[in-house]
Amino acid sequence: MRRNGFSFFSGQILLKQIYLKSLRVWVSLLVLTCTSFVFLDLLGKLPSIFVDCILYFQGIPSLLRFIHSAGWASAGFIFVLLITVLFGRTYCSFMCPLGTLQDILIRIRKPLGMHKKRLVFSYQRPQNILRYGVLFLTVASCLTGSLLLLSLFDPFSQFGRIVSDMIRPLVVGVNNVLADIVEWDGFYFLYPLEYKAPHPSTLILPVAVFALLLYLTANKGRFFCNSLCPLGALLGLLSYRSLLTIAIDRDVCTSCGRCVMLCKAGCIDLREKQVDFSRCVSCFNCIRSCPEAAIQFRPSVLSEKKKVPRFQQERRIILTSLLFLFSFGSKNVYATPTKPRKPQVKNERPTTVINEKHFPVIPPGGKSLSHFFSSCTACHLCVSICPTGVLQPSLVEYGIDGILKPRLNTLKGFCNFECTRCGEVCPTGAIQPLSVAEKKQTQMGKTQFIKKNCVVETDKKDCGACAEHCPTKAVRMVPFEGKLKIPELDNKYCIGCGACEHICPVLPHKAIFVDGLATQGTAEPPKSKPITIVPMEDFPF
Amino acid sequence: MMKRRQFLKASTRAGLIAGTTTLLGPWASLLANPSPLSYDLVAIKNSTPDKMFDAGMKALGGMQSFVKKGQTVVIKPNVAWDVGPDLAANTNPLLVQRIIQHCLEAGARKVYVFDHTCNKWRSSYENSGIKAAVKHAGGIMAPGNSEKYFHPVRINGQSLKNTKEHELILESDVFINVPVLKNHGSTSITVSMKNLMGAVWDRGHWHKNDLHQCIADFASYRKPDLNVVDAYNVMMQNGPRGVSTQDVVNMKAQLISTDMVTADAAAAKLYGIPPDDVSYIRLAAQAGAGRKDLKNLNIKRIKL
Repeated sequence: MRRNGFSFFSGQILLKQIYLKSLRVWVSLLVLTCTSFVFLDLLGKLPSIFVDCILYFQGIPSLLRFIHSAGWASAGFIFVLLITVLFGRTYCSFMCPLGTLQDILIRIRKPLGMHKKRLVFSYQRPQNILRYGVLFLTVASCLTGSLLLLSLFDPFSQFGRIVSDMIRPLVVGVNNVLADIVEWDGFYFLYPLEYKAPHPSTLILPVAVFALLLYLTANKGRFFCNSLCPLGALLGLLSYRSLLTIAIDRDVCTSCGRCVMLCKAGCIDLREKQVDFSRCVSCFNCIRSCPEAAIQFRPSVLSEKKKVPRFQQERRIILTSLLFLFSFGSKNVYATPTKPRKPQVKNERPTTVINEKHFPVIPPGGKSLSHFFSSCTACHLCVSICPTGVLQPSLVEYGIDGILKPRLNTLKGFCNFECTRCGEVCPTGAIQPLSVAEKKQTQMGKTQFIKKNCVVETDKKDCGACAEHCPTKAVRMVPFEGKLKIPELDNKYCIGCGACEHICPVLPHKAIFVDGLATQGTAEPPKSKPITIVPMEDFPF
Repeated sequence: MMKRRQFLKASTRAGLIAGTTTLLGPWASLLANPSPLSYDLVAIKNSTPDKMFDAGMKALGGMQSFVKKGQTVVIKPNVAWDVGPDLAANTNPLLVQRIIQHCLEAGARKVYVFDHTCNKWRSSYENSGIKAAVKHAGGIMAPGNSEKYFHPVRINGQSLKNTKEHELILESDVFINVPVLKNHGSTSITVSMKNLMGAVWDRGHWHKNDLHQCIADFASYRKPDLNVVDAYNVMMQNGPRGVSTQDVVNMKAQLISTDMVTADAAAAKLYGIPPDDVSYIRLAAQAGAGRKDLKNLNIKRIKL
């Protein structure tokens, strides 16, 4: 019977299976390249439809988007679950950019001199407590309203932070050096790009993760994916009974061990001639390597009866919690985040009035702190592509829960009135897409004017930089002490873009600043009085 | 200290000039002395920006009076804001385009256009329509978004002692200032002198240290070879960025002068306020940067 099963998948079909690896390599490289382009689209040239298509199948972002607004636009993760049920964890080797990044690290470890001899993988025992522990804690913390663990462990967000925080400065640097070279005689072909460096502490996590990946890939292959990745663990649970699995034909296998040496997941147990398909990342290296074609991708019904998994118990708990998540998620069960801690705005010189801010400013379309906190996994895509660099990863401004989530840092820039880019690209729906008209009325914060800091008051000299930059004229100049003009605020027009604060020339405490809102509001559109002046017929001089 | 780029450029230019001078022989000296202009101010009305500029140039003896063959020209329009041309917050693209064409016809080697914008430079260049106009006319749109383009200069003014000026202004042979006349929240109006805030790097310093005096100080330091004031569409309120087309009046005027103070004084009158109400015009005239006594000047008035 078993032999019959194998003959079903032999011959032509089997021959073609050796191309599965090539298929995997090309698809994964394409996905990785496109995803990197999305993150490094510093000129904003990619159409948002392309961005949407590329990010559609990213597991966690798509799931989060689905939870908030179920629909086809956010159903990419269903596809991911479906192919996992059918073919196992193909997502991990085909579509996960962090997975492909690790494959590249594995591939290039030799030139890096990390191993003198050819690296040989061997069977690894499953780290069930670790992998399901991470999954369980992540899901549990999500249910209690904190995306902190998900933000830290989600592979897409980790990849995003590596590209945005580590690769982007390199790209900008190379561009600027090239720009410097080509423009020496007024040939402006490449323009210098601006890079607004984030707070150094925000780089610790991506750098540490990258270092960890370098170490793990050089020693244990895809250990991260099988022990620390919650999505990997989840997909592993689903792939237990996937329609197609990888299995070894005991009668044909000569135990040469070539497949084991190439198995990055360390999931081929040659002694038992078993493949732990829950840890298999479907790289198909083994199929390609087997000289006897003994290891194959074939319908699971045809393979031997599996051993009963030892961790049935854990599985049940996990699946129940996931069901819970699905059934209540759409109603936003995440508790409203605990009252954000007062941001710690540091001041160097307490000579003038301190700007007392209560909330950080969330990006336009972030809706509210609760919505934003229940969707954003800090992938830093918005940070990466923000044209003005005003979006910066936060440190503890949002509290521990909001660590690395983007906020408007008006020291670095201000939100461009016409720009809606962050909402267009946000893969999780944390920043909702807005039309330009909607964006122009989305109130992210309210402004406060501190007369005692203002140069017009202190020096009795004109300035007006804030009113100049205000796109809605929420700040306007009014007569003050004779011929001077001083800013006057009308917060009903204010959208909290931070232009006034950014440009205010006084230091260290600004004379005008934006305080974020817990829930974004709607500003009134700016008004213009009709003009009665008729241009003169003659010259007035 | 000479920058690498400047050194390369300077040596190339020195070579070129040496070459040209040898070729032209005794005639070379003619290039150095532009003939004195017939008018202190040319004011034009009732047509499109390009046609008004054509008429104005005709009155001044053509662009050849300002641009000689082989010279490099830098044009500094107002491209501060990321808004469309209809708001009149930036200089009219048609005018910029026509000026470039005149320069190239007069034999300019290269015509650069730049501004140190307030909004994002790339989108301001594009949405203002200036980038397309420059490309169409054959000019070069240069960036002003990085401090590396700005080099320290000594101003020695009352409030402004030092600043960093864009290298294209420092290096080009001819500097044409093309402001747009519009309302401004704190300085009442912005015209030629205020437009030069986009020629320097650290504007915040000006705002912090007596804005009007700094504008006047810089006007005494650097005088453009030509100022063309775009008053075709004039933003009369909510300036300098504007919020809607309701802020704009179609004035259909243009002012051309080599003197910024004269141009600004005349612009103030066009706008409908006495020039003395604008502190920087008063201060610049007092410092001798130019003349605001329009009554005593030779003005050519053209109605099309």
